[in-house]
Amino acid sequence: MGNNKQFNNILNDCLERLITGQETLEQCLQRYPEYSTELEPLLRTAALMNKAVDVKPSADFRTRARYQMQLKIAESKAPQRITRVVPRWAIAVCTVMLVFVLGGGTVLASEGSMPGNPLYGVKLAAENVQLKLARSQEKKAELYVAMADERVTEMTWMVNNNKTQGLEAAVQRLDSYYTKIGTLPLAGNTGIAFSSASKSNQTSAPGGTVAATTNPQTALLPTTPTLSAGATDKNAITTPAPDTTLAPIPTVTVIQAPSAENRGSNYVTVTGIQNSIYNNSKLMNILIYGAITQPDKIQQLLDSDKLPESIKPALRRILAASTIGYQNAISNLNNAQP
Amino acid sequence: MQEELNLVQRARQGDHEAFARLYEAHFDKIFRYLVLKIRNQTEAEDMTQQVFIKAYESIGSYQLQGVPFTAWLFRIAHNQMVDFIRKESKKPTVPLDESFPIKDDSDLEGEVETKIEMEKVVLATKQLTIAQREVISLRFAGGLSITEAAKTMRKSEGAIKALQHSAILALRKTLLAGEQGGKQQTIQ
Repeated sequence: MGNNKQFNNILNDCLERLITGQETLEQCLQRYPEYSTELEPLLRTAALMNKAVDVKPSADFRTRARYQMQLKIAESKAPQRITRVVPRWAIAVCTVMLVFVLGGGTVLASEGSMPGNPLYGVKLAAENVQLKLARSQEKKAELYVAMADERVTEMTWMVNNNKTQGLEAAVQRLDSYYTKIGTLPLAGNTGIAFSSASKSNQTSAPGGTVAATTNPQTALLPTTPTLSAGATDKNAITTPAPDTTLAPIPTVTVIQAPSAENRGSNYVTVTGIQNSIYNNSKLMNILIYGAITQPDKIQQLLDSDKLPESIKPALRRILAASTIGYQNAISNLNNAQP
Repeated sequence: MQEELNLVQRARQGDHEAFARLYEAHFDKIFRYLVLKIRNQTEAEDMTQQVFIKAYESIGSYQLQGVPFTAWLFRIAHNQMVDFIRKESKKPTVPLDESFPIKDDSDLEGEVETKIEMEKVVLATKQLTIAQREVISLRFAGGLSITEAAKTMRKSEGAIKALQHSAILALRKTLLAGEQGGKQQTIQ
């Protein structure tokens, strides 16, 4: 029994060294010459097993899985409705201002109003006041995303209720929002920077192959060949076509991060929508949320039998504008200097 | 180990970057484990994604003082796999040739050799007991240490080492029997 236990320990010691690539089979046998006869066939079988299971996920699957994980995270951080995005003090100021103009209670009553409703104009005015009160470009971007979401919701309501007379105006507003979203000068570094200390102190991984994948310098940079560091002729790629079970997402150009030399050797910056999973930026999540959900809703509108034919060309242009607007905003945010 | 603990702690508090680091560290291991267990690449891919989505949803309730994170993650994978097998038990098995992935960087000849080797070895694992197969999957495909495998399977390290020994021995015998059978067929 004691011998068995001892042999199990020796076998395990050899396996550990073999699996992690610390020693070859021969070196293991030399380490325990008195057990080599018994160890050798077992270690040869283990080496065969180790080789057989050394499979890696395809680059395509890896990218798709990251993308879906990113969607999951983006969904869990979906932006709130516009009335919640705006700070309370801004709502208070907005309310006070409009109280003077329109009378108390009107603004709050207008929040749920739809086009055609007498209070709808108040709702739009309140949104504009919120925009004026926004203290940063990033806050404005958040508001524009929320306003675009509101307009798409209103358009859906209008189509479903056969009140299509306000559709054209809504389309024009959406167009201007997407233009603004794509052109706002966004600031702030949303990439992730890892200190050299964290790079050198990685999660332990028993398998040699696995250990290689845990290095964030390589693992957190895009792993698809077209995104490998130094591939200067492939700085711009597009996201993979999403799984058909997912909401459509616009094609997003990914711009490679500045070189390590330019950013300092202690930092590795991850860019692009595929890697936005790695940043904590609230705005990035909001932009991704908008980029994922709004084109989908617009496409659903286009697919609706109730949508007047006359509005379809303009709506198709809006679909493209939403893609471009979010694409540019995400690129702007990624390229923003810290 | 401390690094992983820190990452888990941060991920529990909603730090997405920390979760992303954990995701990268364990993604390949979970995939290999599931491929070996269910022998179907497409299903293993779907399941790998599900494991991490489940982990993301549940990380807030993960107890730092309980099992190690790796063991917790592999338990999720194991449970997903058990559910899958339960649901799929009545469906026909996908032939290995169509299901097992090939390493991206191998040449055609190497691919074929790898595939044949893999087929032999994987078929041999079918002769193992459930516990032996689990140890082999966790140790070789999952890359878990003895301690992590023990925590995952809720067994002592000594028991895992003994299972590992008996599993490799059984694999050896099965593979040898297969080789001898092949030679006899050739001679005949």
